[in-house]
Amino acid sequence: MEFSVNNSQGVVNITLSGQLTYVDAPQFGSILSHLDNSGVTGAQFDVGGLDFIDSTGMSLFVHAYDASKAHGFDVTISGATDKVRAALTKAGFDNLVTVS
Amino acid sequence: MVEPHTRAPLSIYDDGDNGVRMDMTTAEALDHGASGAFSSALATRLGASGIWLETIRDALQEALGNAVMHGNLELDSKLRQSLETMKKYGALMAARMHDPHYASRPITIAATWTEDSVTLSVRDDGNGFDIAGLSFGARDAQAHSGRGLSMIHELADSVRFEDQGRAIHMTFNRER
Repeated sequence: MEFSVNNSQGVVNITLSGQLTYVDAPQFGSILSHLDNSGVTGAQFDVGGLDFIDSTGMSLFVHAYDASKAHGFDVTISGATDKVRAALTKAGFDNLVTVS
Repeated sequence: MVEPHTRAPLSIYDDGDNGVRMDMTTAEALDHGASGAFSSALATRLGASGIWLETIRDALQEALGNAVMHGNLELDSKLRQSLETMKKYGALMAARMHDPHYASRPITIAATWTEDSVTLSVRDDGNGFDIAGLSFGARDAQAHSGRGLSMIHELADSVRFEDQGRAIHMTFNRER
């Protein structure tokens, strides 16, 4: 998985590409540290470049949701392919965050 | 960060007329798209494709992830329950990925089939776990871990463990 992070006036845009799986768990702390901040007003994950996700990969979004509850912002996951969207929906993430 | 594809592609061996297997180390399971390669090889031998193939790949990915993380790397899911402990989990995983004691441990993926079903097996070299304590409950969207086993239970037609959890056998009907 490759990722990039951009903070625009408190809105953190995180772009993910490749495969988001257990292999990437060591990077989760680095990604999530951008959200664990009282100055964050929103988090937007662009997952259009993701072509596969497993359960460990999904846990990244659970931690993002936790950070959003702690600091009072919303999380949006956008651009998901049909395969990734189906996995997120089946896991119930559309009830936690906005999946667009 | 894991360095991608630093080794030669993993080999997949035919095991008799109705079987196929792939042997790898923990490090190789972290460097290669083993679940995709294996499920594609299996699909080629069975003439399968589409949703059935995706089901096989998804279940194999979850079983392989468990074998690597909880089995050979001996990482405790309790460390995934908060952001702070998740950082520790990631650091511990990164360290063990490069520790030969953990990185060189074997993992085997195997499949056998009949006219009616395919059984997919994943075996690790970890310490095993208490099978009796397993829960295949409904998925909790807010859960930080444990989702993989629930997914496997949903995807496979039957699941069984042996050798104190070091091996999982997932059977899929072929008429999907």
